Amino acid sequence: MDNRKEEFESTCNLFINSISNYFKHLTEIDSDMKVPYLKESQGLILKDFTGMIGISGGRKGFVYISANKDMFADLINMFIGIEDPADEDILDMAGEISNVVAGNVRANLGANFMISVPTVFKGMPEELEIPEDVLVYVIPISWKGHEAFVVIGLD
Amino acid sequence: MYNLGKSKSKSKSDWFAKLDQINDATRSNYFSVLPEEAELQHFFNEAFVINNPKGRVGGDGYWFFNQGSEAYLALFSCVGEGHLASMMIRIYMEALKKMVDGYSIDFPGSILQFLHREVMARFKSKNNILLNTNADVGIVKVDLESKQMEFAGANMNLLKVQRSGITIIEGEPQQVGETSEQLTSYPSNTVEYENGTCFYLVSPGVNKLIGGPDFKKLDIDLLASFFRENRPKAMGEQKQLTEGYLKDWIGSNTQNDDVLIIGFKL
Repeated sequence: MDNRKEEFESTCNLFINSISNYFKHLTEIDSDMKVPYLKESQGLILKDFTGMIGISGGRKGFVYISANKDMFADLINMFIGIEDPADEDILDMAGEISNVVAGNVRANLGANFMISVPTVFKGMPEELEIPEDVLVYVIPISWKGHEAFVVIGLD
Repeated sequence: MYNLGKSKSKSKSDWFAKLDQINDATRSNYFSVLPEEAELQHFFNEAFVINNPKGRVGGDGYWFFNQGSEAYLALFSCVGEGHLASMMIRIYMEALKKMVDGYSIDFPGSILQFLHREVMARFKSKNNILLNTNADVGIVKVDLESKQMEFAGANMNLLKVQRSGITIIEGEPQQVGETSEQLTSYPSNTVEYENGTCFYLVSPGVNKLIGGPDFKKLDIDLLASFFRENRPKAMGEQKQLTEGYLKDWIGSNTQNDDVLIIGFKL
C-alpha cells in the first residue's frame, strides 16, 4: 500500500514539474503552485475551459487542466499573437496545454503510461462523471494572477 | 466554476468509455469551420473531400468560394499538427476570404502572394511565437461557363488525370507565410481540360503515410496511378476506393500525419 502511495505521489510530482516547466520555459514567467490536496471525486471544481486526458496502461485515471478564459487568452496572446481570441482559440489552447503537459509526463514514465488525446470542453458536459474509486489530487496553480487547477485521478 | 456531482460511474472502464462520448469541442470547431463537401459537389457536380486529421483536430484545411459560374478552391496544410496548427487553419481561412471576397484579388498566383504578405505581416512583429505560421497551399480558380481554369501552388502541386495520362501541374517550391523578408511570387498556371478530367489536391501528409508492401512512404506517383485507374468512376465511388486504398496502405501502422485529399471532376 505504501508503495502504491509513493508511486501515486511521484506521478503527481511529475505532473507538477511538467506544468511548472511549461510555464517557466514557454512563457518565461514562473507559476505559483499552491498546496496540493486530496479530494473525493464528488465536488471537484471545473473552471470555464477544461482539457481532460485519459490515462491507461500501468495506472488508469485522468488528468485535467481547467482555467478561465483569461489565462488561456494570455497564453494565446503570448504564443500566437492573437489579442482577442475567440472561444474556439481558447478551447484549442486548453487542448494544447493539456496535451503538452501530459505528453511530457508520458515521456518520463515510458511506454506503460498511455495517454489519450485531450477531450476539451467549455463548462461542464452532462456526460462528465468521475469514477468513485480513484484517488484525486488537486493542484491549484496561479500564473500571472490567473487561477487554474491541475487535477489528477489515478487508481 | 462548476461543481461535479456524485458520479454514476462505478468502474473505471465504464468511465473511460464515457470520456470518449463527451463531445470534444475543438474537433467540432475544426470541422465546422471548413466548407461542407456538398458545397463542392453543388458547384463541380462531382467532388469529394477526404479529411482525416491525425488527432482530434488537424493542421490541414480547405476553403471554397463560389460566385456565379466562378469558384475558388484552396487546400492548405499548416506546418505542425494538433491544436496550435488548428488555430492557424482559422487564420488562413480568414485571410483567404479577405483576399478574394474582400479585396477581389482574382488570380490564384496573386492570391498566394497576398496571402503570404498578409500572414507575414500579421506575425512579423510578434516575438516568441510558438507556432509555425507557414503553410503549403494549392489554389484553383474555375470558371464553368468559359471553361477556364488556373492553378497556383505554394509547395503544392495539382494532379490532373485524364484519359491520355497523368499531368502534375507544379507549384512553386516556396511555402506561404514564412516571416522572412524574402519576396516570393507564385505564377498562375492556365490549365486546359477536356470533359471528364479529374483533378486532385493532396496535402503533404499523404506522402508521409508509412506502409504498403515495403513499409515505405506513399509515393504520390503511385497514388496518381491509382487515381488514373479509377478515373472513369464517379467521384463518390472514387472517394470510397481512395479511403480503402489509404487504409490498406497504412495497415496496422499508425497514421503519422494529417491527411486531406480533395478531388473534383470537370
